[in-house]
Amino acid sequence: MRESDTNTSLNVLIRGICTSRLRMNILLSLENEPLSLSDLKHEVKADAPNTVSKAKELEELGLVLRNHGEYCLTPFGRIIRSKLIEFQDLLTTFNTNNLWWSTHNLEGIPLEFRNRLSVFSDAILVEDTKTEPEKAYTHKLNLMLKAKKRAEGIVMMYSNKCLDTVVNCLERELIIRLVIPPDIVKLMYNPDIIKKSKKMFSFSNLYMREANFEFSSLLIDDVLMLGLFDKVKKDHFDWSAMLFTKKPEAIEWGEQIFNYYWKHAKVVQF
Amino acid sequence: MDTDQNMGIESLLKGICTSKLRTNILLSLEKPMTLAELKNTIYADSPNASSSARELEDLGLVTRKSGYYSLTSFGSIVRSKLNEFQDLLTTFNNHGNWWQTHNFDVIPIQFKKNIHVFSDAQIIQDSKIEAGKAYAKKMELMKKAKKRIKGIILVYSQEAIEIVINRAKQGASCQFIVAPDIAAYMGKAENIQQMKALLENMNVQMKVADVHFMFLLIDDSLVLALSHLDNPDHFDWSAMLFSSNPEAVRWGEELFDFYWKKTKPMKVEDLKKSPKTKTKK
Repeated sequence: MRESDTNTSLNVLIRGICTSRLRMNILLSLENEPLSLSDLKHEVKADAPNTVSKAKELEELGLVLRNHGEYCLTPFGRIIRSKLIEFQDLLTTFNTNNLWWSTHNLEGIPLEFRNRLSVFSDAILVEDTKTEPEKAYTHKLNLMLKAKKRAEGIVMMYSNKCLDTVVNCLERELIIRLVIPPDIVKLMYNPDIIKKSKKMFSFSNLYMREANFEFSSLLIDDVLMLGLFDKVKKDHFDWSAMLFTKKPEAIEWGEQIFNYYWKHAKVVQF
Repeated sequence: MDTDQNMGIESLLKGICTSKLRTNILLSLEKPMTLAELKNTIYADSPNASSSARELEDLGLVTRKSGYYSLTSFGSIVRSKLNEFQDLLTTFNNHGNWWQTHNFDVIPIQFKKNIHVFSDAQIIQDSKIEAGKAYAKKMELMKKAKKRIKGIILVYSQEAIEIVINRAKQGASCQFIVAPDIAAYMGKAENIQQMKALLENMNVQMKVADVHFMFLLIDDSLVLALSHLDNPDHFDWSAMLFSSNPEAVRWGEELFDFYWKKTKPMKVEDLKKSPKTKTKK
């Protein structure tokens, strides 16, 4: 529980920005270069007196500086602007695929990565339909078949098709690094697939580790795929709908979360 | 900037932050609570608390089930983000004027926006009586390093290099990024012997990049040094930031990797040539 007076500064700052569309727009428009009053008012589509007075209010909050008739952000203002945009992206992420996010388990994603879901602001949800019952899964496998550089991730690998796809990538000399659940490692010894499993593990460009996890993320070249578990049936992974994005920040997110699990996962000895 | 999106973030933040009660409820719901428990936690009376909670429900942040209020998944992420904003303000307000008077703008934006990780960091500052206090603390940490010393170095110190050579021999992993002018200085005749001893150690790796802030990760601590705005060409050793918060250390590791990935390793032979000044953002 935070002290009430520090809450006040937070509220004062956020109110100071968000209770006026014009103040918000001024803050957002002053990205890198300083702007003259005429350029600024043109950007924010307001008249000079309003622009000047709202900019002065932002100056008082320590966010904006006026120098030789030009307006620019203070270093503090730059940070606050960046954080607001992050918040905005977060909102976009949730608004765009509201149903998907709210019906799946997000708590399985480690907190520090859950806080950065704004990276999925322009991601596309690929969902099974009545006429295309395995659309999402097929999309994922197709991406892997076309992969040229890498496929690495935290995945629920369970079907023959999946094994075949991984072997295909290994044959094409891709470096494959995967973290899979211990249960699935056990399944690989099943008599009906053991031959395929052995073939897969015979490749030296496969690096497989095992760990427990409650979401799935896969990096295929420069695409990131995110899959989640059902909110209610906690151990049911939802194959029918997965998120795909190419946003560089999302790729970075994917690489970092992969490393986070990879570092502590156990090497699989087959 | 799409007007619809602007509308979303503004109304959400307005909806929360124009009421101390709503802000407090959002920030307090760390676990599911009954109305009574909530009232108790935020010291508010019943009618206002429940109507504010309802307003937060309308914003999609709170949900009520069997008499318990709790945050939705979305609500808990929004709360985390607000806490980040809060920590950001705390960071700026807590450290005297350190951030306001030093040049942190040179840190890339994707890292600069996360300095909320420093909300519980310490600024160690020299005083009239204790000269060199901050620098001494940094050296002390280096001398005790067991696992690793890595970071961005912008000053040549024979003493520091001796410590690194010593620590590397004891098995500490040492990786450094140095500025071009430091690399040039390292190539000078009087320094080459010490540099050879340093770089021939298998636990030491070095690269060159044009960076304008300095930090070190020493075991599980982070030290950050910036230049003073009044004196931008020199680093301000009299006031440095120290943190052992795991989030701050992780911030440092990601920042280090950001520069490390971009540059080639440096060998002893490279020192003898005059290095090109690489300008990288």
